[in-house]
Amino acid sequence: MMDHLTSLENRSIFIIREAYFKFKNIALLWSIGKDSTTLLWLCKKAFFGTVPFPVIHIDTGYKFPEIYKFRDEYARKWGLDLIVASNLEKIGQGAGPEKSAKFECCNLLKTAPLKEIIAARGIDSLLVGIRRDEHGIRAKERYFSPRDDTFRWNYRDQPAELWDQYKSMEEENHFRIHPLLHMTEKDIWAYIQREDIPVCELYFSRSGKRYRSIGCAPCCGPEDSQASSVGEIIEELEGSRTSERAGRSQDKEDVYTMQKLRALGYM
Amino acid sequence: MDTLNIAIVGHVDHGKSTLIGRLLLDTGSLPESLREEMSGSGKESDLAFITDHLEEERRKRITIDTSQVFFQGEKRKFVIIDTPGHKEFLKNTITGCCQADAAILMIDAAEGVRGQTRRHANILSLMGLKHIVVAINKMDLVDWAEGAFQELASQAERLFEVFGMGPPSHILPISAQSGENITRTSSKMSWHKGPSLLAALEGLELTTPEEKELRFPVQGVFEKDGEKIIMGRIESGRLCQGKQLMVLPARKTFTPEKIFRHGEKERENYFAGECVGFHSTGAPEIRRGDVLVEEEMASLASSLRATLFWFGERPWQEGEKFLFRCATQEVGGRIAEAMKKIDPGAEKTVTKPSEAYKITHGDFAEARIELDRQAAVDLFAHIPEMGRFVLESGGLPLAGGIVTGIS
Repeated sequence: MMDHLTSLENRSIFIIREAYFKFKNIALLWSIGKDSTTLLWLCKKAFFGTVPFPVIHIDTGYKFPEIYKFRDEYARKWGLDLIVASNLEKIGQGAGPEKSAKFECCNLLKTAPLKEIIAARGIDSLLVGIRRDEHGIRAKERYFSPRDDTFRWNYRDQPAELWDQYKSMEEENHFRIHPLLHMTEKDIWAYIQREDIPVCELYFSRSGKRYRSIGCAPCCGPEDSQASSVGEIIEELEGSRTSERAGRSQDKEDVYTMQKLRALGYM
Repeated sequence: MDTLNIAIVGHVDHGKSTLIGRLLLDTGSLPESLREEMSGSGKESDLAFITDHLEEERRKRITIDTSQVFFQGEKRKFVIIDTPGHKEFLKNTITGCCQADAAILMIDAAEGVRGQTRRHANILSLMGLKHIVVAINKMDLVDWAEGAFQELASQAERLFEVFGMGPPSHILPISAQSGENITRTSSKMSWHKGPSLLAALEGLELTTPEEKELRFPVQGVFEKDGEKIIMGRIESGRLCQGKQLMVLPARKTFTPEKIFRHGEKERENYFAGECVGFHSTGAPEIRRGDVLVEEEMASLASSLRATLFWFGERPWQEGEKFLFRCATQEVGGRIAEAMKKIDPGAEKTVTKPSEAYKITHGDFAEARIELDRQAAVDLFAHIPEMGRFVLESGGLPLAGGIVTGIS
């Protein structure tokens, strides 16, 4: 019988290939975090060593320097067709997490530039590395999740998904494709270990602290940890009871912030 | 350590989401943030809050969409799939059930078997789920009485008999709200000699299905460095290096040069569930939707008998065209004849013959399907992966079906 990680990997590769062959203009959303980096790795495996579509990084201007460094290094090493999208106008006007509610900031600096690049490039499907165990709202997602022109996620009426038959393109603006939905945080780390996937250094302990979830510097807090290798992170997670996104401030503003953000087109 | 994907199904308010909350709480798997969130909203005892995460779900105290949570037992890992009990959210229930290896059917001890209990049991049976644990919940409402439990247990057994299902793996008395007989046996029900729910789930034995004939539906053809690579996932059987294959429906034969996976050493055999590729050198023209097999099979068909379950919100319109989707095949087709309609939620499930053509949301039907061209299909009982399909219209799946006969 197939081992757990291999079975998860095959399921993800199948979904990535379904999306590639069902849509005309696919792209991958790379936050440079461990999940979307794993997704990128799976795409490379699915297409025999290449990523045959653009990789988009939404740059809020507030990311950690380590994130930019990692992005540029691996975009070059892996020969990626990297597109950096950002809301320069709003960043120029001083939009940021200190100026407004997290909800508004995420919307302005992440969702808005995403909308722009999707329209500009005519993207009809976007691979996104979200997982069910990250958040109760993401646990409700489909593998192929349709979005209309306003980017609205119609969570009240999602299409049925059965036996690997996903909704076909009709009137939608684009589809979000979620090939990692079935993987947990522990699965991701175990897979990173098995495949020896490079990840951003922020995940590893420095002076007794490490980031468990990374994004914009002002809105991510590190947690106490001595784990300085993938093996040690896996060991640490075995005993952990805190949630992965405990350090993410947009989750804390309001119980339903994630739902509201996602309904408007957030990842 | 293996992983069991288990769906929780049953009638509205029979305690599905509450049971999930209880399992997480009593196995120490509840993340701190959720615990805080629950106490923040003054809902310490509202166990359903864990999977009912949408604002609308919490406000109305119902489950709208399916959700999944993960936890680890002593012997295996669990993926728990919550599903809605309301009939109006049936497509979400089906979406959840499709991802399960096993299921817990919840029955409220005070209410007994109800409409959605029957419908869900029937769906599980149709999908071929072998391991079903019946949990008689809210035993506190019947004073933890053995007599009441026995009466409900025989109701459940009859239900399984009527639908032609094998007997349930276990029938267990529980209380999800107060945690009786969930992670350990209950002193309130010392008459119960069977296992606790968790012990029953840990003990379910998943059997590896017997190896069947090769079915390799092509996902697509990918061009790399000027060379074409045929890609797909083996749905059943094994793909061996150097063996001759036949492309269906064209019935042309060829031998793939080299079968491989990226970043791995080549192997002699590749098995069901593996995503592989091979170069198309020497192959006839191959497209997405073709199915590769080892020898010509009798099951290339354009007419088939099926049991359908209709989850589309609108009823079937006689004569309408569908897209028949089976593995990566997409073929136009229609329901040519409706032989029988079954309303699995009703006490008397088989309706009058005159009703057969009125297939609507929540119904099952036995029907004959005509396809515009031949497709490679198998009997669901033989190779489930190639014997199940979806009928799509306007981009939306409206019905699922399993193949019961090929002509």
